[in-house]
Amino acid sequence: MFNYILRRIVVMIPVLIFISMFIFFIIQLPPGNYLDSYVALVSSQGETISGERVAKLEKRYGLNQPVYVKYWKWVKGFIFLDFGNSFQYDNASVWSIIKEYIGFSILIAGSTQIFMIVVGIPIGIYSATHQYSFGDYFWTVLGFIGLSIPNFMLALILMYVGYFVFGLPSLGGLFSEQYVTAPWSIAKFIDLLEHLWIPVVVLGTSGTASVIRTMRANLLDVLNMQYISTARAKGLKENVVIYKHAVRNALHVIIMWAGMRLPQLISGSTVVSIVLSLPTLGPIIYSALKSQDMYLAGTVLLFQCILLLVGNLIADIVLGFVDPRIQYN
Amino acid sequence: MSSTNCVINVNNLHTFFNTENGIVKAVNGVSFSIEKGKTLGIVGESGCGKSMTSMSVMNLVPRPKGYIAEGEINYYYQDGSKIDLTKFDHDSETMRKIRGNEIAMIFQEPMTSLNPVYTVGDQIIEAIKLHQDYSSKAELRERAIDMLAKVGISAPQNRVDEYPHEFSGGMRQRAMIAMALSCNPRLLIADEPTTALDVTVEAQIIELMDQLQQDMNMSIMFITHDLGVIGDVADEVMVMYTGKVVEKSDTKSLFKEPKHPYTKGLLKSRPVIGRNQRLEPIEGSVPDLLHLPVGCDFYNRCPRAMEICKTEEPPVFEVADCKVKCWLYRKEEQ
Repeated sequence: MFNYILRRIVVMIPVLIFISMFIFFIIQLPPGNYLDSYVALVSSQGETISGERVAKLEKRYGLNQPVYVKYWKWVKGFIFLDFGNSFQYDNASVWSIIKEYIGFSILIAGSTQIFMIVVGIPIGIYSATHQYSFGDYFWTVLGFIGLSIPNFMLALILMYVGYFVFGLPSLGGLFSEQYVTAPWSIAKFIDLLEHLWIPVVVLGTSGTASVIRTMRANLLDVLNMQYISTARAKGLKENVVIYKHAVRNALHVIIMWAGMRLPQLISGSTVVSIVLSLPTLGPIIYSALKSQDMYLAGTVLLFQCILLLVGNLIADIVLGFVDPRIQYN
Repeated sequence: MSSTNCVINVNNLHTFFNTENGIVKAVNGVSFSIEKGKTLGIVGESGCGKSMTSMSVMNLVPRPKGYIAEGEINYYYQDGSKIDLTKFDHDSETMRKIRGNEIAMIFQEPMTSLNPVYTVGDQIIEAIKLHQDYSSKAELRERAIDMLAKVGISAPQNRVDEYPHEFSGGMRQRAMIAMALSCNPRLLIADEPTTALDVTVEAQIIELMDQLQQDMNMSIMFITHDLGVIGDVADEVMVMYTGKVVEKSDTKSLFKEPKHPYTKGLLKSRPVIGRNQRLEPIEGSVPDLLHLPVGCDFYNRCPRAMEICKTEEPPVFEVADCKVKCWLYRKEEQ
């Protein structure tokens, strides 16, 4: 088991090297560079920028160098968590920017993941064991509504209802005003929880709906299997048959799905984070891509790839625990 | 038949399914009894209601579409007292204590009848733990190993910790039998237990069941579409067609002197070694259970159909200890 994990991690290294090249190549594809968009921005504000200053900046950021030099400049510091510097954040190191946002990104993504599974699986089980009942139809309809409402729309509706109907103070952000800069305390943590549920519900709704549908379909399949009849014929209680014998066999797809979803939770939260003004990586990567802040954009994309690989590894490990037919050799 | 010697008595059983197109009468007025230590064979084509008869006895008819509409299923305990299983909820304690303990069941598909995520031993132990008083884990394990040894699995002390996918088809069916018999049931329902197995394994499994039946003085309800197998195992045979019993007699006379044209057709359509004739299939196909004909259900395929068969459903006639549902055996015809 330990060997297997080690082997998987070792294999990740060449994969990541390849991915980093690929990402860098793609980021270089659009014409122009950061300075072009910077100059355009400045002149759109009615100011001018001298050619001399542009040349100076170009030299400072190393933008006039050939691609392989720029690439090397980016990757050479990876092991020391040095991912180059960001242009738009005034030459701050990329790592310092990511460090600031990744904690909340993971917090929101993780809570959403847990929310989807904790809410989706029991409802899926209920729907499958009460197929075609009123409850099943109710959750089916609700699930399809959840699947089809765009995240940002749901965010706006929740904020509107919260503010105008329930008179709650601003629901955006992760903290109330007085706690934003305050040091960590129990009160701040409670305040965080009071704000956290909105992005979690907003981001998790469509995912929860897919978990419900997937769980329902898989469990219905499993409930038709012969070994379920065997379990019933033994004299087991219906609840034991369902929770011990059926559910465990219906979890495979959900586990794989949860693993693959990790990176999506960073980029998927972009629009919602902008609407709810959340301090996550979503808006960062959006603006970095827009202004061609290549090192920052590349690094965030690379982090997403790492999350995908790690998510898959975790899913594979969990699958091994759930199903003994999967072996690590 | 004296009730003291009877293990199960099914009387006028009707099991129906509600479908979008109407009610499907999967089991339509079936009656039979099984005596202690005897084997009843149930034969018929796919969809004739033989599996649903067994599922009804187990009170495991697929809900909510399927239900027992009418009839009694009387089970006789060891002490002679009887209960009607149709009166109990499928998940009631009474029913759960009968299932696996008094009546056990093995299924058609050994490849899928064991849960892939638990070891064979765990699945056997689960059944023993439910119904028997073994206090310690070691004792339970010991009992599971004993059962595996009893059904002829070699090195059972190692095999007990293996998963179903590490077993072959024949071994899985042996493990299923071990699980079914682990609580000494008085009635074993075997729903096509050898259909998915190859012929040599089939012979072994049947011999094993036969031997275990003698050891444990157990009754067996053996469901199959294979007449050859029935000839080997059953004391009495019941032939089913469209959810009804068309002929019931002891095995010997059924093979020697089949009475119902359907039974005759079945016997003619199977190969017999040494008989150098073309096989004669039964022409036509089983009528739609949703739209059964007014008269005899077999009318459209019957080589000896008469005028009356078209308009009136035949009752059951008794001919020399056999029961036949066919107008040919009306007194006037004799």
